[in-house]
Order: sequence, then structure tokens, then C-alpha cells
Amino acid sequence: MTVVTPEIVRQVALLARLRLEGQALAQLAAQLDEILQYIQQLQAVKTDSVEPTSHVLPLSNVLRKDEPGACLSQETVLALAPATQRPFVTVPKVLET
Amino acid sequence: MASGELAAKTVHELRALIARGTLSPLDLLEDLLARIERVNPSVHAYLAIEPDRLRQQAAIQLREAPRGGRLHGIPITIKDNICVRGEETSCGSRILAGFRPPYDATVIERLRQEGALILPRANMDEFAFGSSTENSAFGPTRNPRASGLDRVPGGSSGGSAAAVAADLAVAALGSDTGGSIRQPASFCGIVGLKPTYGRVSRYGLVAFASSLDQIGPLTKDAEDAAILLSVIAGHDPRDSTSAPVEVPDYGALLKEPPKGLTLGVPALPGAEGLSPNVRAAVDQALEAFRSLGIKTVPVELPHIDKAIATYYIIATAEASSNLARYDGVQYGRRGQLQPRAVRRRAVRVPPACRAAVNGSRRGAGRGLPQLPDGHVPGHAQPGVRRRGQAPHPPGHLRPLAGLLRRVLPEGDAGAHAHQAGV
Repeated sequence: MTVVTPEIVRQVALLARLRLEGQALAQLAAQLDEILQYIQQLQAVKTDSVEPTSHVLPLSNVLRKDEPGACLSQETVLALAPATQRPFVTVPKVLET
Repeated sequence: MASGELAAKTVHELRALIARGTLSPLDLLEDLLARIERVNPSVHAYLAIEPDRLRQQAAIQLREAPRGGRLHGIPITIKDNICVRGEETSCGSRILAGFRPPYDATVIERLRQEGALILPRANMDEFAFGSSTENSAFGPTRNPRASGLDRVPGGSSGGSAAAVAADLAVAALGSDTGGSIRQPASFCGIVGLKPTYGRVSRYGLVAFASSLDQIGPLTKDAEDAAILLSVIAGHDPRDSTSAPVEVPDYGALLKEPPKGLTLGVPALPGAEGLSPNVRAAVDQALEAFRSLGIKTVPVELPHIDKAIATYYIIATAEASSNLARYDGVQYGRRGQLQPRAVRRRAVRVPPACRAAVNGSRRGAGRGLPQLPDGHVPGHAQPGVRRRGQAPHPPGHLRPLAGLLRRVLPEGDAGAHAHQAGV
């Protein structure tokens, strides 16, 4: 069963800001579909009685003491940004006004 | 000593020479730099080397490091995804080109505390996505063991592995999510170790899949791997997933004869495609274990066929969350984009789906037989491939189960291919 259509690939490419044209859409749709079908085999695994785990070590609620400590200066951090308007980072416009 | 000879030595050999006063750390560095200048252009294990800067830094490090460090004066090569203060750390990507972290990763801090000299920028597959080091934005690394340099070194820590194999590094650090230390170590015929998850702090490692990533050593022998792991391992309050477990002296443990160990030997997954030479090397290794008095028992891995599907859901979902930060706002190149009513978003795996996948991850650990020491040997890869060839399907069960994995060189894998790893 085909799940990924060229139309879906076009939509995902738009969201990811990727330029895909012509043949590439159909080709990627077929490949992505194949990957999803491969992953489908996991549906056959019975996990009802298995407790979900996100971590292989028995650690939970790891907290440190809430105490102020040394941290990077504003100067240092802003120096890493591509554009600044002190004390802010200038970002590209992403929403239409 | 002639140029380049020193870098062929191991950490423990050089450490002894330096401690005796017969070798100065700065001479060692000069020797290494001379060899890098000569050999790196053809192997391309390092992305960039700034000799003057390195000399300067080395002098400062040697002055500031406490005396008697376990790595005093030993240069350690660092994969390009581990943050070194003030040094470009690009993850093999143009997205991060020019990024100079304002802080050291915890592993770098620990190396410095033991007197090591930091040698940055081993090449890698971009953002650690790949297993050949052909996918670096700055050009591929070549396998120095192949006479025509026509083989891949493996990846993604291919620069670290090739540097150690070509004596362009004494020892190196890499990172491993689904084989990125073990597989290049195997291809380049050196020792590589992915520590148990949580053993080494990930603070300052550019994240790929946070629940799988670990930093580990790539070295010329097992003793060096033990020395490096002893230095970099241990709990770190800045990584909440690091294990608050005491670190043994791995070097001392190496000298004790293995007693009462039982090895589970799985039917090797993907064994049909296995090169006969790799299979012979695995059998030879098992024979060596038995001659040391280690018992071997056959085991079954009932969930192994689900490992790759599980891995690729976990790894890609976590990677998509982690890499969303390179959207050109905080990091990365800013292209000319038309503003839109939509924003780029990371792929979200629905919670129900994630729970199911993590269930099968726990199953992966459960399916492994309960052995007293939990050792399950397997081959690292079916064989070394030519540059440009399709990759082998990787074995991804172990990272899911949170087990320690290591690769030790096991002889020549064939006339053209090189080393097999166990």
C-alpha cells in the first residue's frame, strides 16, 4: 500500500525548505514509502506488557541543586550569533505581517 | 629520533619515555606535526591543522596542567563534533563552519587535567550521519591501510580512526551512536570502544541521537583504550544521563587474568554476506578466548531482526529534534528566504509510536541471554568496502540494549580488505 505520495513529499520539502523538482519527487516518494514499509514490521511486535523506557539506565528525576554558578558572559554568547542588536540576537523574518 | 617515528608509539610507551625524561612533549608534538604535514594531504584525516597555534597552545597547556598527569604531554586527536574551547568545531558541516565553542566538552576538560595536548579536528561524516567519512562537507578521508588509498576508513569517526592507523595521531576520541567508533576502528585495524551508555559525559558533544550517543577512544592497543577510558569516564553533573557509578582503573584490570567469564556466541546476523576472512577472524578470536579459559556458549538473539527498524526510528527522530537548532536562527548559514506563514518544524514522532519503539528497545535487552558478565561477541562488519560502494547493513542491537561494545583488531581480513574486528 502506497502511503507517501509525491504530493506529501512536496509538502514536506516545503516545510524543510528543500527545493525538489520533477523526477526527484516521485523517486523520493517511492524511497520514503519503502522505508515506512520496512519500519512497519515493528507493528508485529507485541509490546503491551513491556513498560516503555526512554533510557537504558535506571535514572529518573535527575536534578542538580538550584544554585547560581559561573556561566558564559553575554558578550561571549552574542559573539557567536550571526547578527545582533545588543543585547538581542537578530533573526530572519519568518512570518508574514 | 627520525621524523614521524614517535607517533607510531602507544600512549603507554610515550608516557614512560616522557616520565623518564628521555622525551620532551614539545619534541613529540614537532615529530607528529612533521608527519601530519607529510601524510595528511593524501589521507585527509584532519580537516585543518594550524601548527603555530598548536605549538602555542601546547606550551600553555604544559605550563598550566598539574604535574604527574596520566597523559602528561601526550597529544590526543579529537573528532570534529567534540567542543574544544576557541577551536573551530564544525561537525564536518558547512552549517557549523566557523563555529568556535566558548567552552570545553567535559572529556576535553578531563584530558587537559591529566596533561594531554588537544589536537582538534579529525574529519567525520557530516553531523555523524554516515559510515564511510565520504559524507564530510570538506572532502573524504581515505583508509591508510589500503595501498592505493581506494578504500573507505569507515565512519563516522573515520578521521580519528585513519589518523591513529596512519600514525598521524597517538590516540583519538570519536563518538558512536550506531557504530561510528567500532566500524571505522574495524576498517582501519585499530582498537575502538563504545562505552556503556552513561559511562562518559556527553556534555560538549554535538548531539546526534541523545539516548544512544557516547564518546569513546580509538587507539593502537587495548591498554591505551583502557587508559583513555579511565580518564574520560565518570559522572558529570552537566549531563543528567551520565551514570553516578564509580570508575575502576581499567588499565589495572587489564593485567588481571580473566576468570569465571562466559561468552555468549550468537548466530551472526547477516552471516550469509560475511566475508570468509572476517568469519575466520571471529572464529580465531573465539579460540583465543577459549585458550584463556573463557567458556563460550551459543545464544539466540530473538529480536535481532527488529533492531535496524527500531534503531532508525529512535535515531532519526532524536536527530531531527537535535538538528532543528541549525535553522539559521541561532546557528548556521542564513539563506535568502521568503517569509512564510509556516515555520520549519522538526519531525515529531507521536507519543504512542515512541512508546511502542521504546518497548521493543527494552525487548532488545531482554532478548539477550542473561550471562554472568553480559559479553556477547559479534563481528563488527562483514568486510571493508571500496569507496563509493553501497554500505553494509549495520548491526544496531547493542546500542539499543545499552551494552558495552568494543572492537579489537583481529588480523588481516583478506588480500584487499584489511582488518576484521570482533
